[in-house]
Amino acid sequence: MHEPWQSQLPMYVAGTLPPEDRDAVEAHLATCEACRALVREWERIGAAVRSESAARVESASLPPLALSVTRPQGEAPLSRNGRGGTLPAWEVSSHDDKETGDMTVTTTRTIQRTWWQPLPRPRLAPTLIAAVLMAILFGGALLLFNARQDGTTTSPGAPSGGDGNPPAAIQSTATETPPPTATPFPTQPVVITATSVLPTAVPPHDAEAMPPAGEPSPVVITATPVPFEGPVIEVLDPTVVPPPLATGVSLEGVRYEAQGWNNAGPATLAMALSVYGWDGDQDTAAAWLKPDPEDKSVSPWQMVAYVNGQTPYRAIYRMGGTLDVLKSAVAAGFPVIAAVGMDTESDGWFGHYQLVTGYDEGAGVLLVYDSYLGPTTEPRRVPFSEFDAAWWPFNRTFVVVFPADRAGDVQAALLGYGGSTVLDVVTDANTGEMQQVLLGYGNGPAYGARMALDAASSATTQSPEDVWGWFNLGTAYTTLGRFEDAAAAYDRALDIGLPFRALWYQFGPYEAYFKIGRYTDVIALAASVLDVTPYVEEAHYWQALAHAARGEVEDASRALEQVIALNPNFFVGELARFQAAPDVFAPVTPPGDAPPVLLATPTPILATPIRVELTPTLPPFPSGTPVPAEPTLPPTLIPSDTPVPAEPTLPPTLLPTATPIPAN
Amino acid sequence: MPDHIWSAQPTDRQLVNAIARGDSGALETLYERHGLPVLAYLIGQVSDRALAEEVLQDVMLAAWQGAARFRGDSSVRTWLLAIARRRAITARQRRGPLEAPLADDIAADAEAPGDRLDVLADQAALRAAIAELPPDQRETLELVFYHNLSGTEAAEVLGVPPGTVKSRLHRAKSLLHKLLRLQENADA
Repeated sequence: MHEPWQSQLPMYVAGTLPPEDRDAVEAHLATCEACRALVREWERIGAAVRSESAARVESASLPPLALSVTRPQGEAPLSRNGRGGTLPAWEVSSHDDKETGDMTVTTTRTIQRTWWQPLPRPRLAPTLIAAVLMAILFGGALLLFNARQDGTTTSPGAPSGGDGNPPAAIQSTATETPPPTATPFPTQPVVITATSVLPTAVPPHDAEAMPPAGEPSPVVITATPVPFEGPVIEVLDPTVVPPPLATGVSLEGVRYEAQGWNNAGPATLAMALSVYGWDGDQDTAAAWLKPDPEDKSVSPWQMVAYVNGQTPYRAIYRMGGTLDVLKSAVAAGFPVIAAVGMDTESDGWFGHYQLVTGYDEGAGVLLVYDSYLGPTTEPRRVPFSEFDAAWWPFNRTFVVVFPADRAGDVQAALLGYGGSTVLDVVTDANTGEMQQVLLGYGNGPAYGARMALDAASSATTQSPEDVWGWFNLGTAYTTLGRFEDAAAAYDRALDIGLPFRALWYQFGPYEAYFKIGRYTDVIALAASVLDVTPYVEEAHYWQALAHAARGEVEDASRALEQVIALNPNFFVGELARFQAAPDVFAPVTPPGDAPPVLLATPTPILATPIRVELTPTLPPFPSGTPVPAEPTLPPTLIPSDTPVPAEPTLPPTLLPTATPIPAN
Repeated sequence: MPDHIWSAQPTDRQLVNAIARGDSGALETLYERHGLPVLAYLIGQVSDRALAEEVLQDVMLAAWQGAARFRGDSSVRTWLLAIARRRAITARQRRGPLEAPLADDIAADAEAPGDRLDVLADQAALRAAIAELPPDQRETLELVFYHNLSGTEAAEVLGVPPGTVKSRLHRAKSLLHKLLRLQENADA
């Protein structure tokens, strides 16, 4: 009866209620002695808290600020993306933004080993590499692995089995093809040693020679940098609404590829790059992305790592997209790869990619190339709502690939089309004036993560049984480093029930449970996936980390062997994923004295030109040159040097976080 | 970069923007404004004044480095406290636990009719009881009543949903009743 008022009283006493709420409370207090008495209690508590806190510092004065914070004249302000020279020596790399902070586990839950109905499938009998895993996961150093190109082949085979694998692709040339050949495992012993060297940028095609038989040697992985995000674009008029887009766009020059078996990712990526004249095809991409053709999925960050490191093009990926941002990108000439879920009668639910190359507002459709569904000669016309429904299970994740010299155009195309105009205030280094800046997907990954959080929060509020809403909520929280909240959201999704292939494509639950110490759950979840198929290297990877956190070195070692056996390029992709974490790339205050330059709209398709101002002193991103990697260490590969807490055993009287306020 | 000359007393936001541009004087000003309350918070977190002063320097360094990323959707105090909290946790982990942490699970008994803190004469007893609260509850009280953060801001610093802030406050009050074992005259 009194609960809504009771919950406001502490803030009322503290003086932090907004004016309308404060007025409402005061009106209530005039009529309610019980609440007035509570107010008096809170006042006493507040006074005691204030005096206790103040007493800690009243005996002494503030110590002097001990930082040497002067910066040599002419150097650019701090930029966290490693661009443009060395960082000052006292730059401290930190992962504060991604630390969980409070490691208390507030709920206990055991992931059931089978959280769906399992299907029969064959077992894998791998040839194990003799690997020695020493102290890597405890030593706080960077893992360096060889990005070995084993020269595997993917053959467009035809199997579509009753074991629940995604079905065969359209065969445009109907020939009998042999089943895909297994990746040959390296036969030499592989020694993985810890080295405290930060990743350095080396030419991407510099593969290490195989070590001679019997002689272990350290193996090295090179980090694939995520590209320079483009110049900061400031919109001078903060009230400008993104101009209306053209009513219809259709990009030309897509070379359709019918995907080989299990090859939607590489095929869709090849189609996207074909717009720019790339001379590779899905096999070229697959050789790096999934050297084992059985690999169940290619992740967006793996695509990004591949494009940035292995091609002359560049790529970024974002979550939390909108139909408008897709339209804006294609209107600017950039096809967009979208991660989608397909639910079919014959094959169940599986993850897939589609290439968005246009739209037609009048008909209410996107134009989409689908390497599995076809057609082959023209795009599919997919109604907006149908597309969005397929896009939703993947948190509306999208990948934009583009020529390296068009980074600024991509940023302009992505800016502001988030369905809301998000402004921030930055100070112009030239004039000292504070200006409002339009935020958007183009400035970095944080915006998309927040959009994803908003979308999932409102979806789950409106539809508490929306399983993908809860899953997306977990992914958004994980991306933003809020692992307890993520775990709670993922728990809810698992309770409602996910399709059994859900964890073939998205792996946030592993990270969230790992970060809050639920190692048993990480292992159980991975085991449930691996019971169906061993060909998901992420499941092996997280099992390895969880075993290592529990001190089970041999189990960790075996699991890591599986990762390397399945995909030697896996870790390159993981490093790219961490480099794209929110707040790693911050909007950069424009440096220098160069005058701003007026940029005309890059494409005549837009109905109204966007007037923006650029500071052109930032160097254009040179094609083919890797940007020096962000000098911070991925938090998951590199455990902090603090001991990982043992999995907590919770006393039975632990109250869950959402304890209802006790009635008075 | 030259220091700003402010025409009026700068707001916290203006100071942070100046810091983002490399104005070390603005950092000094921000430190003078918020340093003691943040230090008080840190002492509560690490229970050691010398360590708290070290961590405070780390916090100011982080503020210097991260000022460009401050979004302005919360108060500057919230931002500093959130940084301070993370740094304090790291510092505590490095040092190791001083004492067994109190579990936040002491079931608060329902308040007996007539329990009232409003007539408590002994402020010292109340302060002592507050010091005995589980760290999560004590910290939440401190953020709300000493740093005057809103529920949302406190939730942001603590990394919990806003509902958790409210429930912690109320559990704290119930637990204070229990700790004080106060039997007061029933109010009319």
